[in-house]
Amino acid sequence: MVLMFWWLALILLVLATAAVFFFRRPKATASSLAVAHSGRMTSLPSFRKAMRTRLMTTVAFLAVIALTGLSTLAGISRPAWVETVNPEKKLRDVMLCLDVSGSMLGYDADLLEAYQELVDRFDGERIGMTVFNSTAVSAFPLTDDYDMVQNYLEEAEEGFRTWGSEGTDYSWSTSPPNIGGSSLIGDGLVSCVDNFDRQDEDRSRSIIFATDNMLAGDPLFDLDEATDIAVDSEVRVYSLSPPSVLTNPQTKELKSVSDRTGGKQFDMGSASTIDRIVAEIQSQEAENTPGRSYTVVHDMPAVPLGIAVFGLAGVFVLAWRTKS
Amino acid sequence: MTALLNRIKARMTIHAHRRTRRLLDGDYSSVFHGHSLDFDDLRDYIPGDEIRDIDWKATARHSNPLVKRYVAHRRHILALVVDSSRNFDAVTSAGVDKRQLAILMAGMTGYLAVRHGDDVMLIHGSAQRTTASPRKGSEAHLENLLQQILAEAGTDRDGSIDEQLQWIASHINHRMLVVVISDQAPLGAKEEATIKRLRAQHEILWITITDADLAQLPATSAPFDVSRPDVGLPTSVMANPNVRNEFLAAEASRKQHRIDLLSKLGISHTEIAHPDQALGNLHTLLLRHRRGPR
Repeated sequence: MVLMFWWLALILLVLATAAVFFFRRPKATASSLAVAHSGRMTSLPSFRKAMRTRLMTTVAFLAVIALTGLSTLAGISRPAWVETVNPEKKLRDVMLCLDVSGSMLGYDADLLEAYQELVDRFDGERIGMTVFNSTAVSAFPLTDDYDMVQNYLEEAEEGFRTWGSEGTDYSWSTSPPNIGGSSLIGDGLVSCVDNFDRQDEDRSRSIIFATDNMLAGDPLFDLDEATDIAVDSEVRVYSLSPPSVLTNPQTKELKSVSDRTGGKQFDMGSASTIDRIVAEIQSQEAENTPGRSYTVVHDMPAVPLGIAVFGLAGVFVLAWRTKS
Repeated sequence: MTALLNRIKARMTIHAHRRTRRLLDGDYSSVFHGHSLDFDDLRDYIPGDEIRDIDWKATARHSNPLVKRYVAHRRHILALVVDSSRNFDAVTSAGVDKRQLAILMAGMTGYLAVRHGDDVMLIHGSAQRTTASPRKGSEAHLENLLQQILAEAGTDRDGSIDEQLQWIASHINHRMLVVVISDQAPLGAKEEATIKRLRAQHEILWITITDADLAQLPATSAPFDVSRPDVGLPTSVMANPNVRNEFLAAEASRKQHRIDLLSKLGISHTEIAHPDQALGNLHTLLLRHRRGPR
């Protein structure tokens, strides 16, 4: 709730104060009548009673005038509910890209839990998930149906926690026997980049790339080539690696991937990681899509102006009563 | 500097024809009831003179009635006691200036005294201070006294006629004719005691200059009390019928109380609101005093 023209109300208030000051009843002048022993009159009980009555009337009058004036000023100052609409959120796509190779299995449940937390923080973005090992599987496509996303993520988490006995098991589907190797990171990243749809639209795209970067096998694309593809497709890669005490070469490589695509590299360890990722993505995206937001002003003059109308009627009634 | 007195004399001449003025002279000279045996001379009878002062034997030898004059009567002292406080910078119930009216009344009585060959003194002041003048019998002196009353205009002192009366009680030993010019300030027990004390020694005449009728002030007059010039008086409230009735009742009872008190003490009294009433009321006052119970 803001007052759009508060300065106008302020100017009018100052003018009204000045008017009251200048047009107030003048004090006794030379033309006034001097009388003596007014105590003859002012000590009378009926005079005191009449004065009290008049004081009450005056106070009531002033209160009504003040209320009317203030509500009129409030109406003039244009009270409004201002809403900032961010349509560019609808233009964001976030792909969760999860490595389900053997070396990652121990972390995947926690990662999925972290993803669920991530999804809670998003508002308006489309989210998709791709899991990969030796090959990539689209767990669910880009969507803004968060309930469904939440469902899928819970089921996947359940699957990883129970080693596939309950929930969804991705480890089997992502390592078909006809493809050799596992943890083909480059291929996984390219698949994730490929899973972005609506290529003809100008959308902001980012990948949250959770992997330990432990390559085992012979990928079609190595990580460098995959990064080139991501850069060409204007996809930012925020990499999320399992906690490690020392900075190893794999993590460094991931960092270079993120840096080249304009994203960042995060460790899963710290508790504030999720906050930082969300803040980073959203600020990054805000930077990348500037000036798209617009404000909608909902005027709310009904209450103050309604009071002003009733108050004005009251002022007229009181003025008439006072005159007569 | 005889502006004030000249105006008063003119008023006495213009508004009253000669007979009335001589009538007043007689009124005045008959105010004194003390008779000494120290016979001075005879003079023509003036209507208003005491009948018992007529020298019937001399009158029988003369075409006009003659009255006896006594030495002791020839130089009386007229003490004008005037409240000259800020209360007199207000208007009377007839809407004229109280101070001017007080000056007129003081001037008229003083002029009668001067013409009669008496000395005039002025005791005036406020609740805090009383000023007394020397006693002299000249018109210039009288003019000076009137100017003194006028000079107090604009003072910020509150009035109390009791202060002036107390001053007389404690400072004056000889007998005087005291003419008190006061307003409608209520006369309480304290004033009553003082007046009683003075009455034992002096001849007292009382002139009340009526104060404004607060219940009938027009709203346009923007009235204020002289003691509180910053605050106006609410005419709309004062004109309220209930307030007005109560005020009039209170005024009437105060007036009755004043009349009762003064008549109980044997003091002639008149009320005056406008200069046009001055001569007539003064005549009535003097007459009433002569006839009043002794």
